[in-house]
Amino acid sequence: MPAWYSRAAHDIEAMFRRQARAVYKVSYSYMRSAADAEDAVQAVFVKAMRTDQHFVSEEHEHAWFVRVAANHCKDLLKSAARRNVPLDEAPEPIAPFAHDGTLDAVLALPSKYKDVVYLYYYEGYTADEIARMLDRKSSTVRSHLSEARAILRETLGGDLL
Amino acid sequence: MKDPRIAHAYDSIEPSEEALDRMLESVLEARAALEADSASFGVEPQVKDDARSVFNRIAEAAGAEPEASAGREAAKASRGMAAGNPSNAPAMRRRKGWRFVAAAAACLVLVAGVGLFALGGLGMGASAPESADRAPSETGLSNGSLGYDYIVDGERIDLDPFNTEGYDAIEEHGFSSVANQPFSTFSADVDTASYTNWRRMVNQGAVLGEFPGGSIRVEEFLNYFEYAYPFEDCDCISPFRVSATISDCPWNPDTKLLVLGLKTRELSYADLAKGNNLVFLIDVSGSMNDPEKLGLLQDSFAYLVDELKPDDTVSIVTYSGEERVVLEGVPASSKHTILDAIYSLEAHGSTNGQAGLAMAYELAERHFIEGGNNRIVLASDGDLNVGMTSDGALSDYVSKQRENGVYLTVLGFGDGNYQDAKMETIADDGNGNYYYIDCMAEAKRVFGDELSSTMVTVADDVKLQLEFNPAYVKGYRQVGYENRELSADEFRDDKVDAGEVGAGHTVTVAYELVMADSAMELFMTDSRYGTEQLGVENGEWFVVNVRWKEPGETEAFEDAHAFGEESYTQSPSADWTFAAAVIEYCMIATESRHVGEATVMSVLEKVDDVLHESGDPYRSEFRSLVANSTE
Repeated sequence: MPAWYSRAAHDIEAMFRRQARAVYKVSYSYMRSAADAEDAVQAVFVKAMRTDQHFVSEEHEHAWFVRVAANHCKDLLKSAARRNVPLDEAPEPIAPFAHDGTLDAVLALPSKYKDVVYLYYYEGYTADEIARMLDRKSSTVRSHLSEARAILRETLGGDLL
Repeated sequence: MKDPRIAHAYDSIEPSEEALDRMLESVLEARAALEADSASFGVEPQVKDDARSVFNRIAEAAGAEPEASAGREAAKASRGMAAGNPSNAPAMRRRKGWRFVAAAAACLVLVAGVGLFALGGLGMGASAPESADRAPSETGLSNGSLGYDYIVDGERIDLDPFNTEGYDAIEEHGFSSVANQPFSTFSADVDTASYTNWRRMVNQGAVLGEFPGGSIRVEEFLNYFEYAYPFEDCDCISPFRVSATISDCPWNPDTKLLVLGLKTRELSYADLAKGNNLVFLIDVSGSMNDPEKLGLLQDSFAYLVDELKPDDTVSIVTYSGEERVVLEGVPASSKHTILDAIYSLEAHGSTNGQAGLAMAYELAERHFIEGGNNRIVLASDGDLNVGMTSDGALSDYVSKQRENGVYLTVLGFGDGNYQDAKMETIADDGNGNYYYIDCMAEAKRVFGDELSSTMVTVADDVKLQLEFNPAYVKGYRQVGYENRELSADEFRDDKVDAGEVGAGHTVTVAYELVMADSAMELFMTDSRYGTEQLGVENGEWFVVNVRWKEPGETEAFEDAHAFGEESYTQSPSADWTFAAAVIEYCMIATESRHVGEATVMSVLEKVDDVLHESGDPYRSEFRSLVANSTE
């Protein structure tokens, strides 16, 4: 019996209530479109049903979702670039929420910085914790953070820390 | 102190309550669909990294709007771009992607079986499996004589899909008299490509009478399926167990049908002590530039990488006009590096398969693991069109290379110019196995469920020789294995190459037997010198001699298994009945002169009998395909 099968519908629903917003935020930061972000959320939860990953804590579960969402979106963007097909040709007609300069700057970051920036600035993890969550070297996370910070400083001005 | 503006920016990315409800609903629907799949067929359905879930693809293939993608559709509707309007870009994109989506969905539906009817609420009816490429014209496909005419961007394109595919002709075995030919000798074969390639053709709308000659190899059809052959422990050195079932031949009242099963020990891939040194050799020539080829290939390799052990090493060589080393000796634990490399591949240029092969063999040797699994995984549509590409020259080259202990797995992709003969030749000559990947579900079967059979060879140069006892059997006809035939003398000639068999593989072999008391007349040759053979009445109808080498060794071993009346039964097993059905279908499809009383109806009846006993999803898929191939 596949692992997801043991996750009852109400477990999936509870998981969704816990993680969907974060998955959506991460996905939107990559996809920059509400529709694509929604599709990504669905795909990530389907992955969650199918994985045999056992979550030891909510923290663990959360890290899994953020990582899988980021990887999923990166793969999508890569595969769209590979097929030379824009994921959505037209810009969103009505932004589902207000964009300001900061959000635009965050969305404009290269893909490779987005997961660390999200985890560091929004979720408040340290570089070491992020490295563990994403299975990367601390030094890589630190250098990505500092490169991202430099780009944001350039765009936003001020003493961005 | 972190700049609060950044956190605030993420704060503003917030799905509306309606959006959350929509997403939750689609997640729960997807779960129900997965549950339905799994409950009915025990096969995990395909949900690959794609913006659309499997669920949407099926709905789309069936002509319904992808409801689960409510977000995307709502957004499109809101900007006045209703899906399906041929005049705008998104609809064109959908249409171009159609064949891929449709083929993937059809394959999934069929592999997965009937359980997806749970999706009836999405507009998928009971005829969905055949809806893919025979979809109504409003979906962009029109139903021409073969069901192959496509309309792409308003232009009608006639596709004769198999016109440039390359298959070797097969000369079917006839009956031999035991007096003249007591031995039947051949090489083992575990390939399954012919079956999955046939599945692809049926899913594209081909029917009986349209399958290219040589594309249907009955032994590969038989070997695609699982059979419950016993594997009992013994004190012997043989990695094989041989079993035999004989019953009355369903299509010929004068013969009996013998179904022999060879089984090797099951090994779990994860339990293997020795490491794996894999070299992916990937065709990135222009002909691969198709989501059904390179796209599916990338997804397939990504799936394989996921299954590897952390200390396995992976190298990637690509070839088109020139070969390129993309990765060398990277541990499988660096999954991201490998996946990045796989997904960054692009297809262009011509094909020089041999230069790529040379490079792959060089890398395999450079990272050689003594006693481990050193293997090149070659993926291509087989259209090698530059340089030394005659089958002979390529196979000579590969034959020379196999001396070094490097195995070869050949994966075929795509259609239209698919070069089956070339792919099979390379695999046979390179100590390899050969699969045709028509969809993600097949990649998962080859690299998931059957990874250890695919990757772990337990016996090299496996030859079989049956000797019939003329006291009981006066004639026989081997079913299939035509291009695996060896002369009786080659059985013990260890320089003669033969097939490799992997862990847990089953090899199924069938013969029509003409018993001594049969009414069938065979052409006997009178011997002037009186060497007439009478045989011995010792109860043995025939003996199966198996000869093999341990992987990478040169010394050969031999083992004999005799069978007699105890193997005969009037109520044969489900496995025997299913094998008989597969053989009957192949005889019908290849217009065999031995087809006798076999009809599509008799095939379906047998499969139904078997399915009654076991719900094997692959067998039930076979039934649907047979039915679909008869219009």
